[in-house]
Amino acid sequence: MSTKSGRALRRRCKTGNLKRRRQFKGTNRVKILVCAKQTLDPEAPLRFTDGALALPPDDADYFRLNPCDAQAMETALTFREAGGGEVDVVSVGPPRAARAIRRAWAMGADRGFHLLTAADEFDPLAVASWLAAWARGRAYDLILTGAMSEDAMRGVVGPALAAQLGWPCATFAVEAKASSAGDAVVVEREIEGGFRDALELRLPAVLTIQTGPRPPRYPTLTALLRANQTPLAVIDAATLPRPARRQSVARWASATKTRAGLTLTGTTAEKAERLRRILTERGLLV
Amino acid sequence: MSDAGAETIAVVAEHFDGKLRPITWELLGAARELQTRLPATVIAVVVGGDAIGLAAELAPAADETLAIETPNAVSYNGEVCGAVLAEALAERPAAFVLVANTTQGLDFAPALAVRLGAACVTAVEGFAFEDNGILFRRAAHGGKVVAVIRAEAPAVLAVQPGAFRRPDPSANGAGAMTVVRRLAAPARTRNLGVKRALAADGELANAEVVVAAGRGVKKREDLALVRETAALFSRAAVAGSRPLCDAGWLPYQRQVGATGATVAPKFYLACGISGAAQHVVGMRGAGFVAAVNRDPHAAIFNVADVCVVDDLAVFLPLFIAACRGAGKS
Repeated sequence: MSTKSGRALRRRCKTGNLKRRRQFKGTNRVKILVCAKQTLDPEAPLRFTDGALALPPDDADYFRLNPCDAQAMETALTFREAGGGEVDVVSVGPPRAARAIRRAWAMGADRGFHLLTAADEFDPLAVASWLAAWARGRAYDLILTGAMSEDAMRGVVGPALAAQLGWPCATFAVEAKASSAGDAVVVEREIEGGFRDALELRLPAVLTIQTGPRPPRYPTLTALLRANQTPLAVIDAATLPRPARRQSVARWASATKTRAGLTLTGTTAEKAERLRRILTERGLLV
Repeated sequence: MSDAGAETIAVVAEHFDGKLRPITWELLGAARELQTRLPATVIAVVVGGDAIGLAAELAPAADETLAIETPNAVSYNGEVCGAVLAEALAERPAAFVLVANTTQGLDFAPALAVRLGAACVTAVEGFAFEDNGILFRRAAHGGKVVAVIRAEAPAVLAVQPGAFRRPDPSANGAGAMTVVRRLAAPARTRNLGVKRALAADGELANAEVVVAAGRGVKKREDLALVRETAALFSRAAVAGSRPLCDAGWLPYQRQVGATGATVAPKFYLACGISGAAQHVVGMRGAGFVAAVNRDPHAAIFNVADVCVVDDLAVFLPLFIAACRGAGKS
């Protein structure tokens, strides 16, 4: 996908978010890269046998744009609306990951790139290396990604990417805006205990974004259709440098049970009555 | 007595507002567990403006303690913390570096791993000692499954709070303490201060019963059922997991979990909560836990005393009716 077709995409979209770029004044123009991952919905069926995890079939109902990454996309679009600039979206993943890129793109990105792998990559440092190799030399001011993916739940890729680029990084950001001088971002990190840690980072910088009260915008149907019809720029991840693999999944196992977990049986009404009795016997319900 | 050896296991203390966080002691517990397999010296590292006082507190529990005083970065700064730790660990290479799996540990751990050329495994909740090495257990997919990770040393491990016990006092180490001073100031970041964003919710903190709603609560009507259920109990409060608060259905003060409230009521009823570690860390101290979820594989059932595999929109009305019916008779 070239810049030219990105512009064509915006021109073709008569409504929705893709049009807003024209309002920008250009004082705080930023070139932003959003790193997005396609993740497995936590409610999707999941089985493992003999230590191997069986993912559900490649089904649009089960795989989706990681919610925190959608929030990162929303943050990027907010920056662009405030000061102008460009927003690119990139994803590392197998062929099905293209759907997540298109989803993010339809939210209003200018360009989409797919760093194609044969399968899901479990080494987050390899993913970070590929993203760093891709971003290097492309003059991004800001790289945004989700605080954590909802399937792997690691939170490693964003800060590792920053380290590989030698850029400052703030994780778990819930607020981010350009500094008045335009050469930095002012960020609030959500930390434990109801506190927020505020800091300023000189650009270029990496932020990992936590979900928050401003939900990611919903792409218009027109934008979704256009994004689906426009070819993505696909780069074979194998052509990018990566470090030696330092970690891998040896096997998958059952989650550890920390409590007895008596499963109630019978009809729903019987289960309801049983729970009432258990709680009454324990003096929890009077 | 500790089993010191040629290898080093480093524990990076987590502190906030001048106090060591409980996870720091759990990290020492995890290090002691690793030590049963790997003869190593456990060195506790404290970075910060007030590193010396905190290191003195930790010293009796570690084989060695290193206080890295950073007068130009008094409170946590990821840039300085990462740089001074990388420097210290380059001088004193460690097979494993244990950090807290918190918003602080996760902020510097990946960059530290990159600088050290180490692996980085986060949310570690246990070890598997096997013939061919030490493997690391971590939850994935909303806590439904555990990934057992093979990582080559050196590895930076972010350890899940609550997963390991404080070490037995009899495992106390030698307590030798070294103090170094690093004048590094952040060059590309500037701390603007920590502020309280949310006042603690008194009703939630004092509740004896917490009825919590999660992503399984799809409609406003379902949330009304959760409230109605809470009203059956005395001193009950309604709480929720992050998605409900993000959606604006509950105030963030009512969010239970890692960055929200930690509660320990007599009874916790989880309605439509998947049970990811980020939520469980805030409620595992509850006396008795019941969970309602239509997914029989939901992780919340691993931390529940009573499991109800059902749609909460069907179950809760019948539960409310059962309680009210019993009250009348």
